[in-house]
Amino acid sequence: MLEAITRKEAEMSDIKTMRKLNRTVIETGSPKFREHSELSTEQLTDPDYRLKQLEKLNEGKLPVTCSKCHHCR
Amino acid sequence: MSNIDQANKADFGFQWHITKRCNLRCTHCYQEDYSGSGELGLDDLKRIADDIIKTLSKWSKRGDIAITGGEPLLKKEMVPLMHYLESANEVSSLDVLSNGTLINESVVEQIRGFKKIRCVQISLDGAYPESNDAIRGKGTFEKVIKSIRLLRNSAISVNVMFTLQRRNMRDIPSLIDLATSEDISTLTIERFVPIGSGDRISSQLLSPEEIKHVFEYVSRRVEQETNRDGLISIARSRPLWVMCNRDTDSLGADISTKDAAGGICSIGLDGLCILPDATVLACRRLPVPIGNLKKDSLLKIWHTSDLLWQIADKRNLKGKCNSCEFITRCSGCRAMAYACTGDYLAEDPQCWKQ
Repeated sequence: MLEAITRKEAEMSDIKTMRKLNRTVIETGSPKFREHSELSTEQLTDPDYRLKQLEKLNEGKLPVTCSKCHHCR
Repeated sequence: MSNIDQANKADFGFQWHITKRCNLRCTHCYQEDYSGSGELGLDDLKRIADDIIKTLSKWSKRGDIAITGGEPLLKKEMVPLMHYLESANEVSSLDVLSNGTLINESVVEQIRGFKKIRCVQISLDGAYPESNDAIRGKGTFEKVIKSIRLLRNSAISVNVMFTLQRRNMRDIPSLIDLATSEDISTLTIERFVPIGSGDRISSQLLSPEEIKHVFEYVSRRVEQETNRDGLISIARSRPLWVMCNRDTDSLGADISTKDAAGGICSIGLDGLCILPDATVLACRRLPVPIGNLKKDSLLKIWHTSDLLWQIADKRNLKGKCNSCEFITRCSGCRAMAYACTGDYLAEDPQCWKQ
């Protein structure tokens, strides 16, 4: 029983370490930007491009976004 | 008018953290550093404001700008910056997000002087002094209630932000009563995301079943009390709430209808977050830099950020988010996924859907 608990704790500790490592790498890295050649003219000019794609996926209905209610704090 | 035309007219939101400095040390705070290092002076703040205004103008949009911190009232440049922003036609409204402990008569007078002020948001993490102060610090409950009354007496809208944790979940029924009796405009119940200082108290994260219990309780209160016409607004336009629509017909309906619950994470859709050193985040709770306004323009960040395009393509989401029927109306909280797994495309770990 004690062995099982110790093993579980070790696993959890590994998960935490991995998570921390992943996060540190991502948070301290430089932001990544896509090349203009990877994007269409609409993607590069229409600020609502992503919203419109979502609207299409949502059967023509515009989803409510969380920023439309209140801001995070 | 089509939905997209309406969207074009809608505001684009900026959450602008002008300082890291804060007089409180709340246990769940997404900050760890409270120093003034890297903070910008008024000239640099104005340069960023110019970029915001120019971009909004190019997009034919109007912006809502929420000024926050740290505690924004600690930064002397807050008021001149807000005057500068207010003078632009492209800025439709201003909010102040504060911890509520430094608000006095003279601050209220200053805030009231802004024609475009929409609301002051104040944080309260318990319905009682004991529960709130255990998280936010001794004496904060009393100060915050005093501030709310000062603002309400001056007819300034007040929103309350409550960060839901294991230690305060039982306060919710009383919190709704309190918010109603204090004439709060909107109560936002936000899930605690374990980043920054909050990473040290990840045991405060609720299980999916606990989240379900709370969200369903709040939804029942909204349904019951809407009929009595006495309830304050409770913000439910956020991920996971879509599953609280009791009437199954409403799941097929346009969720922008007033009474339906649920909203999709707004990352890459209509808002951005700016930090005190001009770093840009997709969301304050997702601490992955997507640019810096000292060297990258807003246009460049919005149109070419790899992270924004990754998250926007819902096929990239993993786990149960990927195959979920609500993917276009929820898509889970990317910040929560990131905080718990290190992967912002992972499934929302607090989702209770089987």
